[in-house]
Amino acid sequence: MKNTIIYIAVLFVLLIAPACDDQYLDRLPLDSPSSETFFANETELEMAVTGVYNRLMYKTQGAVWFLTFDFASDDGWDRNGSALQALGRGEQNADNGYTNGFWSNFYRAINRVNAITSGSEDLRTKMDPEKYNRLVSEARFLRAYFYAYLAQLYGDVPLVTSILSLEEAQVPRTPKSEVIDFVLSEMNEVKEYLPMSSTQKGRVTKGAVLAMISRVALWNERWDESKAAALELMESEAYTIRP
Amino acid sequence: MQLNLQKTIYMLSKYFLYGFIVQFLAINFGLATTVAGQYKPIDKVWVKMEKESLSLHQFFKLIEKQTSYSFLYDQKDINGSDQIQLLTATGTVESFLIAVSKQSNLRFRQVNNSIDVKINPSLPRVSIVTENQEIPIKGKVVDQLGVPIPGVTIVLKGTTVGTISDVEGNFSLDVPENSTLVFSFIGYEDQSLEIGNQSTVTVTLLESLSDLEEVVVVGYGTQRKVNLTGAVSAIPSEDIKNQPVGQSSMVLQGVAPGVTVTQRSGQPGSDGGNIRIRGVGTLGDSNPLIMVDGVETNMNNVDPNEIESISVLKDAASAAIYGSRAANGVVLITTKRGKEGVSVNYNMYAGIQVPTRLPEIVGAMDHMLLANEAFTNIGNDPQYSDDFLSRYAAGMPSDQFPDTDWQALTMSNSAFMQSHNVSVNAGSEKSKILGSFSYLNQGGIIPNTSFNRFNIRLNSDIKITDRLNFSSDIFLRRAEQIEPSNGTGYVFHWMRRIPANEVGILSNGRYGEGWNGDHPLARAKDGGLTTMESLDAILNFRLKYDLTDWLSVEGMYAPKLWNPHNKSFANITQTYARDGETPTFFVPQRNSLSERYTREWYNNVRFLLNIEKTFNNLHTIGFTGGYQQEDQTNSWISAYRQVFPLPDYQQINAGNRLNEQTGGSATHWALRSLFGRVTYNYDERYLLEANLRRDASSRFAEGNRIGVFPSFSAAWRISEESFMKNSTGIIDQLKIRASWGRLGNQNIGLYPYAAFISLGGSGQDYSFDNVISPGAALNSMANQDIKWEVTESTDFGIDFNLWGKLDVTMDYYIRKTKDILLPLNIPLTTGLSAPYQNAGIVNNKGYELMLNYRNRIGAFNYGVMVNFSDVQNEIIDMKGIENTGLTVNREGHPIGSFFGYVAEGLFQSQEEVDNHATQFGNVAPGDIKYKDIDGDGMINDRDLAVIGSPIPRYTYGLRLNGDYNGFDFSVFFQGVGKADGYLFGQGIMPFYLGGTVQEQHKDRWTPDNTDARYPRLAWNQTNNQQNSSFWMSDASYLRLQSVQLGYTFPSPLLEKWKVKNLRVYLSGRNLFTITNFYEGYDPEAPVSDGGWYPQMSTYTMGLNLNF
Repeated sequence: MKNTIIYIAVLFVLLIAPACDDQYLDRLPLDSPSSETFFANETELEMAVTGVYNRLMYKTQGAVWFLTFDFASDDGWDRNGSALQALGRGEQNADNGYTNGFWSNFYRAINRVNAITSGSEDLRTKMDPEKYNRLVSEARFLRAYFYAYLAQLYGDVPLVTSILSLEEAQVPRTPKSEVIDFVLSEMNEVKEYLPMSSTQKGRVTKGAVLAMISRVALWNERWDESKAAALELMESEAYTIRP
Repeated sequence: MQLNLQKTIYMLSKYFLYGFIVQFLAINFGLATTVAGQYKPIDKVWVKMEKESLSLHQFFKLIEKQTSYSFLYDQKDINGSDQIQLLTATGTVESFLIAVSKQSNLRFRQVNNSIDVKINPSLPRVSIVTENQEIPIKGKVVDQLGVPIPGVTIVLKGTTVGTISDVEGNFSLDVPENSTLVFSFIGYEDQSLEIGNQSTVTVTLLESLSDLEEVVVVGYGTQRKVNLTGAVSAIPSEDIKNQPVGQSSMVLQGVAPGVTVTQRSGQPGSDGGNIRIRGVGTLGDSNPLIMVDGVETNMNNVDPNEIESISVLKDAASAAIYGSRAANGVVLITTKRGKEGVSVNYNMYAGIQVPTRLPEIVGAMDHMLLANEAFTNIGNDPQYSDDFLSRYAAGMPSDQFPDTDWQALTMSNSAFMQSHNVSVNAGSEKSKILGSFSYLNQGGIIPNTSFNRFNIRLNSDIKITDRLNFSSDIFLRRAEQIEPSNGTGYVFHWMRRIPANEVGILSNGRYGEGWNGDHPLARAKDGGLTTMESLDAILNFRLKYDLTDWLSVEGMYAPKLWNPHNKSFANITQTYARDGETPTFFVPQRNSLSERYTREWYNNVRFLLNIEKTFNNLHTIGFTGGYQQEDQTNSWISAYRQVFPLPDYQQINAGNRLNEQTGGSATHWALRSLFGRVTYNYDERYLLEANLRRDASSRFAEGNRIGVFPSFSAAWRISEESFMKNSTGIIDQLKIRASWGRLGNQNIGLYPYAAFISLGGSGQDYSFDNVISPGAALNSMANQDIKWEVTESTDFGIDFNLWGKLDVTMDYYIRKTKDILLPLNIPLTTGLSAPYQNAGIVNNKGYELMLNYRNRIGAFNYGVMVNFSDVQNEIIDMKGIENTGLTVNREGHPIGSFFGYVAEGLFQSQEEVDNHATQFGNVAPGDIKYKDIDGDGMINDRDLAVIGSPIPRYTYGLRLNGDYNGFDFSVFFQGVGKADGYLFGQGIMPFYLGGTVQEQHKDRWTPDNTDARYPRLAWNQTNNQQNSSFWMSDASYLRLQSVQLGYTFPSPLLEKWKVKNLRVYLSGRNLFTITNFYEGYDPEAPVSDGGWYPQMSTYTMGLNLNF
C-alpha cells in the first residue's frame, strides 16, 4: 500500500518534471524575423528599402496620398462627410484622419529609413559597395522627399534622423528652414550614388533627385539652387519633354 | 527562470509527498473491519475466556474477537476499566453476559449482530430481539408519468440493507414482514413505503422540490451544491433541451444571474450570443473560458441536445483553478454519457423563423414628397416638380415610375429551421456507450443564406478492472454557413437605403439599376456565395485509477483539430436602365474567387490526482492536484484569382493567373500549468477551500512568463448548527459564503512582448517595373516587460432554502482588473505603433439574486424561477488616454461608452437658433440643439461628452413552469435594464447621403408638428448627423423569450409499441418584446447603420421519443 502510493507520487513528479523545459514555451513568430537580427544580408537590405518605397503608396480618402491634394482643389470634390471635408469646413482637430494620416505615414517612412541608416552599417563590407550605396541612397532620398512634404504641409516639424527609443521620443520641432537645409543637403549628397537611369522602373534615379531638388528649392524660394538643379537635369539630356 | 521553475517543482513534489505520508498515517486510524454473517442468537454461541478477572473493555473485545457480535454503548455510561470476575472459562455468550450483568447493573439486548449495552435496572438482564421471517419482495419504481427510474436506492428502514433499481425500474429484496422501505434518488423526494404483507409493489417517486442535494460540476471535479463555497450557477439539461436555438450560447440568455448574453445578429450560423460574466472585465478580449468535458472549445460547437449540464463559475474562488484564462469567468459544459441498459432517443423540432422587428420604408410618392420638403427646407427648389409627381402617381407602378419595396423584394417573410437528434445508449456494468448524432438546418430570410451542422459524439466508459476506468470520447462536427459574397450586412444596408422610386426588377425580369449598381437582391441572389465550412474534431481519452476509495489518479490526452475552409466567389451582376435594354452597371468589374484553408491543432495533456477522505465522521479533506500542458499551432494558406471566363467553374484553376494572389502563415502558443485545490469540511458545518494555479505562457518574454493565481473561500452552513435545529420546517438550509481570489487573462495576442519585422504584404511591398517586390519593415515598438493582466475578485454570498421549496441565492461582488494591456499613446514621430503596456484598471461590481420556488398542488407541479443581477462597470485608470469616436473608453465611465454631443431637443424658433452657440452648417428651427458644455459659444469637439453605455446594467429572467397529468408548460421572460443602443447613418437618419426615409420619420419637426420625434428634414445638412445623444436610444427590453407547451403520452398507452416515453410540444422563442428602442429595430441591435441581419423569433413543433 505504502509502496504503491510512493510509486505513484514519484510517477506524478516525473510527469511534472518536463515543466522545467523552457523550450516548450519558446514560441516565436513563425513568419518573420526579430528586429534584433535584421539586416543580416543583402536581401534583407533590399527588402527594407522596398519597405520605404511602399510608403509612397499610402492611401487615404480612397486614393494614393498625393492625388488627394486634388480633392481639395478645383479639380475634385469629396462629397462625403470625410476628414478632408471637415478640414475644409474648419472643423478639424488633432484627430482629423486626413492630417493625422499624413503625419503618421511620413514619420513611419522616415523611421524605416532611419532603421536602415543606423542598422545596416555592417553590410557595407559584406556586399557590393556600389549596390550598398545605391540602396542606402535611395532610402535617404525618400526620407528627404517625405521631409520636404512634411515641411511644406506642416511648417516646423521634428527632424528625426535616427531610431528613437520611447524615452527620447519627445523631440521638439525644428524650424522649417533647417528641415529644408537637411532635405537639400541629403539630396545633393545621395545623387552621386544614383544612376541616371534605372534598370528597374520606379527606382530613384539621379534625374529624380535633381528634379526634386529643383522643386523643393522652388517651393522654398531658393531660386539659385532650383535653377542649378534644373539645369543640371536638362543638360544631362537623359530626359526629353514629349513633343 | 529555469531555477525558479525547478524550485517550484521540487517544492510541490515535496508537499505532495508530505501529503501522502500524512494521509497514510491517518488512514491507519480510520481503518475499520466489518464482519458480515448470519445472525446467531447469543444463547447458541460459545466463547472461551482466558482469564478469570478482566476489565469490561477486555471482555467486550474478547467476545467481539471470537464472534461476529459487536457491542454498542455510550462511553459516558460505561467505564471500560471496571473489573469483572468470571467463574467459568467457556460458555455461551448469554451466560457470560448474565454473569456480567449481575456484577455491574448493565443490561444487554441482542439485535441481529449487535449487542446494545445500557444501564437500566428495569430491563431484563439479557434479551434477544428475534427477527421476523424474511419475505421476498418485488417491485418497480416509476415517476409521475409511469416512466421507470433506474438507479433508485431502496433501503430497509433503519438498516443498511438495500438494493438499487435496474434499467426497467425493477428491484427485488428480501425483507422482514411489516417492514418499511425507503426509496431515494437524486432529484426525487425520498419516499417510505410500509410493505405489510404485499409481495409486489409499484412506487411512484415525486420529483424533488429542492435541488440542494444536486451535484454541481466545478473545475476539475464535482461538488455537492450545499458544499459550494464559491459563486457557481448550475444550469440543468432540462432548461436547455428543446430550445430552438441554432447556437448553444443562446441557451444561457437570462437563465443565470450575472450572465449577460447579447445576440447581435439573427443570421443563421452567426446568431450566437456574446457571453459576459459579471460585467466586462477588460478592454481587450472579455469572453469567458468555455470548457467542454475539460477541453477548451467554442460553446456553439456543441449541440444543445448533447449537453448534460452547464456550470458557470463566476467568482475567483470557483474559477481560480483555471488561472490565467479565468478572469472573464468560466463556463463548464458536461456532455451526456452512457448509462446501463439499452435505449434510443429521438428528439426533433421544426419550425419557422421570422424577424422580430423590421423598419418600414416609405413608398415612392412619400419619398419624393418628403425629399421635396428636405430640399425646400434648406432653401433649394423642390427636387421633383408637381407635374412630374402627378404623372408619377398616375403611372405607378411601372418600369418608368417604379414603387419598389426593397425589403419585400429582397427578403422573404420567414425561414425554415429544423433540428434532429438521435442518440443510442448501450451500457452494462462494465462498459457504457452513448452515440449521438445531431443535425441542424437553418434557412435565411434573404437568398443564399443558411446554416447546416452535423454533430457526432461517441462517449464511452469502460471499466477495465474494478479500479481502472477508461473513457474515450470522439466528437466530430461539420458546419457550413452560406451567405452572399457581399455579406448579409451589405444586403440589409442597401434594402433600407435605396429609395422606392428606383427600379428593383424590370418588367422583363432583368435587374433594374438599383443605386449606382448597388442592388441588394441582385447581389444576394446572383452575386456569388461565401461558404464558411468548418470541420472540428475532438478526441478525449481519460484513464482513471482508483488506488483506494479515497485516492485516485487520472491522465487525459485530448487533441483538437479545427479545419475551416472559407471560399468566396464574387460573381458579376448586370443591371439595366429603365428601358429594359441598356446595360448600366456591371458589378464587380471582374469576378473573383478567394479561398482559404486553415488548420489548427491543439494538444492537451493533463494529469490529476484526487483525494477525498473523512476522519471521525467530522473532518472531510479533499485535495485535487494536477498538471496540464497545452499547445496550439494554427496555419493557413489562401489563394485568389480574378477573371473567371466561365463563372460556373468556381475553382482557383479556372481563373486567370494575372493578378493572382497567395497568402499563408502560421502561429503557435503554449501553456504549462500546475494547479491544486484543497477543501476542508468540518461536520458539514464549516467549509474551507483554497485553489492555486501556476501558469507559464509562451505569450510573454522569459522572466514574465509565470503567473500565480490563488483563491480562498469559506462557507458556514448555519442550518447545520444545533441551535438551528428548532427552526426546521421553515429554514431548511442556510449558508453564508465569502471568497477572494486572483485571476489572469492570457487573451492578449500571441506575441505582445516582441517587435517583429513584417515581411511582405500591402504594408511593405512595392511594385517596380510592374512587378511586385517584397518589402520588409518594423512597424511596432516592442515592450519586453509585458506581464499578465490580473483580475482580483471578492464575493459574498448567502444561500438558503425555505420550507424545502424556495431556494434563494444572493451574491455581492467586486471585481477589479489591473494591468490591462493598453497601447499608450507615444509620439507619432517614432514612426512605430505604440507598444502595449500594463496600464489600465477596470472595476465591476454588482449583486445577483436567484429565486427558485417549486411546489405541487395534487398532481399539478409548478415552479417559478426569478433571477436578477446588477453590474456597474467603470474604467478607473486609462493613464490619461482619451480617444475619440462614437464609442470610447474613458476613465470614470463604462467600457465602450457612447461619446457625442448632448442633445437638448429641437430648436423651436429662429430666435432660439440665433441665441444659441454656433452649430454645424445651415441650422434652422427643427434641427437638433446641442449643449454648449464649455460655454464658448461654439459647438465643437470640446463639447463632446460621454452620453451612455451599451453594457446592460440590469439583467433579469423569470420562468414559470408547471405540469399536470402529462401536460407541461413553461414560459420564460428575459430582459435587460438601463442599456443604451445607438444607430446612425442610413439606419435611422432621414435622407442620409441621399438615402431614403422610414415611415417613422414622418413624425418630423414642422412648424405644425413641433413636438416631433425626429428633426426637420434637411437635405445634405450635417448638423443633425453629428454623434449625439439624440440618436442614442434606450435599449432596455423585456422579452417573452420562450414558451413551451408539451404533452407526454401516458406510458401504458405506448407499451405495445415498446415506446418508453413520447412527448410532443409546441414552442416559441422571442415571441414579443417590450422596448422603447427605435421602431423597426431589435433592442439588441449592434451599434450600426442598420445593416445587420435582424434577430429572429422562432415558432416550432417538436417531438421527444424514447424507446
